[in-house]
Amino acid sequence: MYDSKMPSISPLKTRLILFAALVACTSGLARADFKPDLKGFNRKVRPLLQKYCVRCHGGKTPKAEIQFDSIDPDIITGEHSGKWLDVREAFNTGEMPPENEPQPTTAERDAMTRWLDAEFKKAKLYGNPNKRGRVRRLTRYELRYALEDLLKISVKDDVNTLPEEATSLDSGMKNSSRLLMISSPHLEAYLNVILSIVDRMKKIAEFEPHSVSADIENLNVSPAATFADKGKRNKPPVSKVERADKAIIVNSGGYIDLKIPSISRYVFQTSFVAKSDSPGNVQVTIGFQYSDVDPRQKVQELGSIKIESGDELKTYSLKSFPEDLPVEMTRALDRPFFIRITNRARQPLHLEAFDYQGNINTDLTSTLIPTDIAESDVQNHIRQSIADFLERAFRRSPTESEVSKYDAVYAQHARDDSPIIALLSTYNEILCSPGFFYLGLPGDLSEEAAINYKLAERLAFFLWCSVPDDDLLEPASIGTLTTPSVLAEQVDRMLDDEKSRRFVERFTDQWLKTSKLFNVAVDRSYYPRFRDPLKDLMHQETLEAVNDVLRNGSSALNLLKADHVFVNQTLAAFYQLKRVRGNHFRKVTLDENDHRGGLLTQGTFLIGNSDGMNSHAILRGVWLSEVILNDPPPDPPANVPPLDESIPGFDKMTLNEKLFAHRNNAACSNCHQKIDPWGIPFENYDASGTWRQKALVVSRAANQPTKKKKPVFEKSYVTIDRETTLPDGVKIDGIENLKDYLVSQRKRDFARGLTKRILACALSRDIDYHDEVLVNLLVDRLEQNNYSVPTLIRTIVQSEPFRRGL
Amino acid sequence: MALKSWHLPRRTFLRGTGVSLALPFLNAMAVGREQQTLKALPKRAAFIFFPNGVSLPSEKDPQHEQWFWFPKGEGRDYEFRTSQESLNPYREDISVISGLSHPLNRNSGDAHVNPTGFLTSKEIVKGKTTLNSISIDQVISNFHGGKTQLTSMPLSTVGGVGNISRTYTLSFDKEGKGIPAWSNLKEIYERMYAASSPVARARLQKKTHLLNEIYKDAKDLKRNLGKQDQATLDEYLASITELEKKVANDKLWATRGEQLAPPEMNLDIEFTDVEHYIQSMYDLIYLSFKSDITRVATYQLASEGGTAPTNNLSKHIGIAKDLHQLSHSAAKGEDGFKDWGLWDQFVARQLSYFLNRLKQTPEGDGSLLDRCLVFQGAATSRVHDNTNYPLILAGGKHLGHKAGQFVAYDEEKNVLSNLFVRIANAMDVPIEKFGDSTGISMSELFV
Repeated sequence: MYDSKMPSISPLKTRLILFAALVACTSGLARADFKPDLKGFNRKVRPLLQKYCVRCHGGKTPKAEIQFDSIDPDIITGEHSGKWLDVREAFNTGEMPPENEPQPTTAERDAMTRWLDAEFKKAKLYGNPNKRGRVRRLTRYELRYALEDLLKISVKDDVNTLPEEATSLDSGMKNSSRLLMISSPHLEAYLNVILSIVDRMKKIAEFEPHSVSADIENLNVSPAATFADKGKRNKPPVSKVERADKAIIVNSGGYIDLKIPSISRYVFQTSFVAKSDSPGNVQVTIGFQYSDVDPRQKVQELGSIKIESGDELKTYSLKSFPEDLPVEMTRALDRPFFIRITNRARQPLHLEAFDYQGNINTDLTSTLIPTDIAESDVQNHIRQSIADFLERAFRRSPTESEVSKYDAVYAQHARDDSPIIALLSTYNEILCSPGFFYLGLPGDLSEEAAINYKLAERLAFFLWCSVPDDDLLEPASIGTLTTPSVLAEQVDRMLDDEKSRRFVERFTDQWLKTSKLFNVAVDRSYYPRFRDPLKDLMHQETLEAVNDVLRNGSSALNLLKADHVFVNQTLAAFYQLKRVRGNHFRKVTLDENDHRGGLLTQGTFLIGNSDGMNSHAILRGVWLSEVILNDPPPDPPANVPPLDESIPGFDKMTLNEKLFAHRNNAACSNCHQKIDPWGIPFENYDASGTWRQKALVVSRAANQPTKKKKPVFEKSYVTIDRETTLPDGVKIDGIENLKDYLVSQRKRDFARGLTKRILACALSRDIDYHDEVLVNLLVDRLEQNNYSVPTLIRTIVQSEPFRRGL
Repeated sequence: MALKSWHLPRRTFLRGTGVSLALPFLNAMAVGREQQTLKALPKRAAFIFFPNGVSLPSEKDPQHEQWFWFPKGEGRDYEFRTSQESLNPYREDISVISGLSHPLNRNSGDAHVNPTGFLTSKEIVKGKTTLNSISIDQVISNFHGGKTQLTSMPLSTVGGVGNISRTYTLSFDKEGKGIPAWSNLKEIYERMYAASSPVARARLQKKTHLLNEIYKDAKDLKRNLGKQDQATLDEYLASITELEKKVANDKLWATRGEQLAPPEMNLDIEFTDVEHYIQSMYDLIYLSFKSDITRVATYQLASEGGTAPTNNLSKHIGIAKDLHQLSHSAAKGEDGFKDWGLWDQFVARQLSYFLNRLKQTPEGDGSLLDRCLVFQGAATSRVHDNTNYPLILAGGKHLGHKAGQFVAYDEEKNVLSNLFVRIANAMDVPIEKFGDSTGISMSELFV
């Protein structure tokens, strides 16, 4: 929880500052300011081209059709911008000038690189702004959450059939309006998704719920043992079960099965009435036997229920969903199944009843048409439902013609179908409409109403990745949402709501590029302690840490350096942290020698920026400059040579020495001087994210056996050389030293990067020169408020660009 | 969740479909109009590719006699060697061709680039060429497009496009962009019979209605917007119009599809189950040809080079080496060419499976095979040798193919593109030139 007593600036003052900022923005840089630096070209670049290039690339028959004596030096809008791209690549890779020709001096090289970089940067910015407006379609994940909030049914699998959206190269965000385009295959996929979901709901609505109860009273607890082929005695299903009058006692490790005729096609529930002398767990599984003659069983765990100790009988139940089961189970429709409860406690379990309910669709049907409505009220209820649904789906009050249109749709369907089915058909049409699929459409609203409703919409898709709820639509409908105090209240309420976890998750993944973790396969022959499920835990660790900052208001600098981590028992054990028991994630305070705390030392990034075998200082360095320092290094040039392994003694070199060898290559040195120093302090962490004192190096063995299929690798250990000199001359020794440096010297860079990304996400567009003043103001605000991100979010929401959707 | 038709065992399907599906034109074959009806029968072409060339031990090598890919003898007196023996039953339907290739591709700078130009003949230079040119199947498909539900079927075991130097598709469009190949059996089946089930037809009806509605909605909503936002909605409107056309076309075929009950077959097969997978791919092409769902198909059986996901296909069928190793180590070990020959044998067996399906299906005055041209080959003869492609042209007797011979061309004087021109001509496409063709008529192979 963030502290509500934190110092805050009065809303009026905020508005004045922001207004001033806005004026500054709009009168500031415009597109016309991206002028090519022709003077620089004539003074510095043209003489170089004359000196080194024109002899081949000039005259009547220029090589590669690049003619430097007549090339258009305007890279931004000029006709030769494509050729300049080739020129830059050839030059940066050292391909040109050719080896046997005179080479430019380092100073000349620098001048040329600098001019090219500056021009290309301008070209990039010029190309982007304002090509598209603010109306945009929903992203795949927004579509998922919006449908789930509107329909109350899981649609994750359906939505995953849609193409994934592009990532903005600039902000890393996926909700950038410029990139959310549509084509006819996409539209068809979208319509198919909606049609499939609603069809599924219709089927579910028609399911008959059914239930089965175990006849505990007459259960035979001493069945004869069965014998398998080789005389091996099969464990009878109820061997550890005893009778106790009308109830039964399930001893530790014992289980009983309840036969069910077929698998449930929708939510199902396992319940039992039991008591125990001590707390323990009961495991619930579902399974089937392969066939009458094949006694093998396929069993899948559904979950585990905690049993409280005591003398009182209690009802325990567990809801499960068929979509979580393996397909071989859900596909087998005509096969009998069993539900099994197993006593996983040491103490016996006293059991009195054991039930199963399948196809529980009442939750769904009653949200559509409640069962307790009088027959005569059904029509009214439906009309109200349609109007409400329209308002929530379109994020604005529907027009009269819209309401009557969809009433007519309902009436038409109701001629053939039951009210529930006809209502679903109506929802189907509403969800296919662009009014749902596109954000930022005002419809026929008055200007004031449009501003209010669209603000509600922007807010909900920012903080919940979904449609607004009724409590948010309410102030919008009466025109008070734009009042700063009402808006502030809503932001607090929404951040408090669990739905804002979605914002945290999506934002974290996009900002920090966590997906890399899942793309790296950690090689267990070198890291035997590593298990793949750890990746999910590490990802969760990252989410919890960011959640603490984004929603609870802990200082954002905790992401750089912290005295705590968020772990559960398994992850803590992997990190060699003691005193953590249980599967839930919690905040754990660290000792000095734990070597954790902050994003830098999380498995997510240590593994994600390694190659599965060796740690990778370059990837880690690139990640740090890009994400933490907000200073992305340029992409590596094509044909980049890898570390040159042919250098004698390469295997035994320390990483520092290897990188030094790489930097000696002229084409690489410029960039790598800015990257490598950042990666070296991470060397105390191996490719599985574990702390180490010596670095494991995996390399191809010198003697490759000829007959073996796989190449042979060998391990060696080298001392870690973790001292590095950063590009600004500061000497760093080890990760803690680096964290301290970041917190004291680079916090503004970090704050700026974070601010720009949150702003980009909020405005669903890239942040460019036009926003410079606002960004500075927001970063100041973040610094003044103990790096509280909720405060930053409140300020963004109150800013003109957000309120007006600019 | 209903039990889908593809959950049935594959063999059920094989037994079930022989001549049982009477096609409309057979009914129309009234006396006297026979010739006219025969003329109206569809003509089809399939282009099949396998990677890395074939086993070609030199004459001194003891493995030559048995495992050399090309047959013994020449002209009509030829005899298949061990690896191609399974094609014997179709001997009279087949021409084996040597001495043809795409000479422009010899300077690609990367041996594995060859397959990219296999159906285009374009010179692809590694690192320089970014676009291919149109492939011959697309030339044919553009001509016949609109006559069938699917204009063409680009298939490959890997699927997708790959990149210009490691292509996963054989088909390239007018601009030379790769057409994403289909690899998932279920998806291919669904595309083929997209409009055939009552559910699908109902859904098409619904989509027509929905598209109509959302078009109106979008027009309404567009009115109050600024210029840039209008452009966004214009893009949306354009995609609606585009989709309307597609749905209209689907509906057209749906009417026809009513007569065409989708056969039951097992489509839950991954390509690691190599033989079943490849044969299922051939089954799908066969069905599409038989029911006139498409006129042209391409199939890349596996992709070239050691990094392709299909490189292990040979291992899955019990050969110790992967495909790339087979080609590179053939000359090294004692049994190197034999191992490679075993793979060649496997490829030939799949082709004969396909030819058998076509030949066993009567159509008009002969079999389905008589109106299908099946072209199979690789883009190198052996390791990275871009000459003398191992080629087979099968079927198409009624399309003018003079089958039943081994034709050896002079590498210096002829190019593969000349053959492509003739295949296109046989499919009624009136082109005189394709790629680097030189206008030689190839009268040895075509009437």
